[in-house]
Amino acid sequence: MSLPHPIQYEILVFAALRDAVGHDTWQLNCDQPLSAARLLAHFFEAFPAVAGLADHTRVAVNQEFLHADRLLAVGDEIALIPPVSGG
Amino acid sequence: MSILTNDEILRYSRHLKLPTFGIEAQRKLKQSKVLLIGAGGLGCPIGLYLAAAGVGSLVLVDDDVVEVHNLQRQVAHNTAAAGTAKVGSLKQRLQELNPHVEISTHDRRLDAEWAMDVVVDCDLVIDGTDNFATRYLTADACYLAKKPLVYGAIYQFEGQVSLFDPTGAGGCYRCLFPEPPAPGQAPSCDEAGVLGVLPGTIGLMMANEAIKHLCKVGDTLAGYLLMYDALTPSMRRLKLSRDSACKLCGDQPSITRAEAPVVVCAVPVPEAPVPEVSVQEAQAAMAEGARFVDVRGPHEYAICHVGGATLLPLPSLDADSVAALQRDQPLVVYCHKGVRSRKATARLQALGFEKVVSMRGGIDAWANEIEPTMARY
Repeated sequence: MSLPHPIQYEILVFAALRDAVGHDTWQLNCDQPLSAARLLAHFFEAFPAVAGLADHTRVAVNQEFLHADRLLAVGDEIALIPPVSGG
Repeated sequence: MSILTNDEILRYSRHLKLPTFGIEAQRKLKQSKVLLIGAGGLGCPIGLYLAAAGVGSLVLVDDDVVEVHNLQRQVAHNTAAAGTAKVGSLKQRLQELNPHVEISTHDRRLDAEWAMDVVVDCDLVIDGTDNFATRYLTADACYLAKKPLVYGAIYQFEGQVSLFDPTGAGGCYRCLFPEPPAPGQAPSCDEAGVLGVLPGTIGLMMANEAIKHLCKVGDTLAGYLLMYDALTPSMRRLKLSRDSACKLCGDQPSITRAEAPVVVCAVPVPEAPVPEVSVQEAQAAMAEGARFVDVRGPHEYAICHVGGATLLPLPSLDADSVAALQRDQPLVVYCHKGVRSRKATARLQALGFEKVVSMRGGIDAWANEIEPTMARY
């Protein structure tokens, strides 16, 4: 018997993305391992209010910035980091 | 090699006693010329500590004037400086702190016309600006002029710090964030608010990076992005790498001059004309039975609001939340300054409300013209 969503990602979110989520982490359940690019697409579908940052947000995995095509593992520390401009 | 006078040796003696710092590092600092762009939240603590530490020469760039709402975090300015140029106010404070530092000022915004000239003339550049246009221009000019760039940026309770060294392997600012977001997509401190101590924390991390790089002491954040969260509190250090496809420092760069960045609007934001009224017209409508709808957040509503207004924050404005409104009652929608209320008015129209107008200038204009005892923020 298989679980409906065998993969659960816990994702750290920052700055304006955190405002949209309302929390500093976001959980995503899915059936297949995702690439960083797919994860970003899922995130901005879930939070259209910050869609303007979709092309500008970077994914860091295990404290390292990643290329978009890398597959994410469940235990990875995943962080979505948008640019900020305040000074 | 610069010679330190006896006055300077006494002033910097606690640096000179540090075994890994000492007189050689202090001399390097005295020989250094630092360009500090921005004399605000980040620029104030950076300027104060670099001047105190004994940087030989500081060039300050900012076109802004001191406002009272800056003073919660821009600690080098004082109450009496409100209305005066930030670079003048900061220079005066730094000169009082340390007369050995040579300070020059540019009371203007960094622009493409002279960015290269002012960057080339310095040993290190510090980005303490508050907008993407100047950040990208600064990053481009620094890479093209082969100058190290200390980067820092803040948002509400969070900060980012790094050092981009054009001679190192960690890449440049554009390797991290290739293009600026469209205007309005990443809120500024003015829009989103900022914890007063945050630019102090981030600014001092930036000053520390500048000093270590100039004095060749310890390791810097070159090749890393440091993320700080003041609420948790926590820090994360993320590894950066050069992007071979980077437009600025990649294998086939397309940016070969420091120019004003072209912001590509990925999501066009059509400014659909919505009906607007002045605060006087809004007041008259109220007398005739119109309902006021406040679309700011509850934390802003708590500062001040028009009496009797219904709070319906813009992010949660949808078919469910508008059930509390009557469709035959005229609605006057307001926010802080009249931007969010236009969006809310358009959304209410889309939800089938016909008698809806946006109040021009928001509650700020209302406080200024209708209700002078109301708090402004």
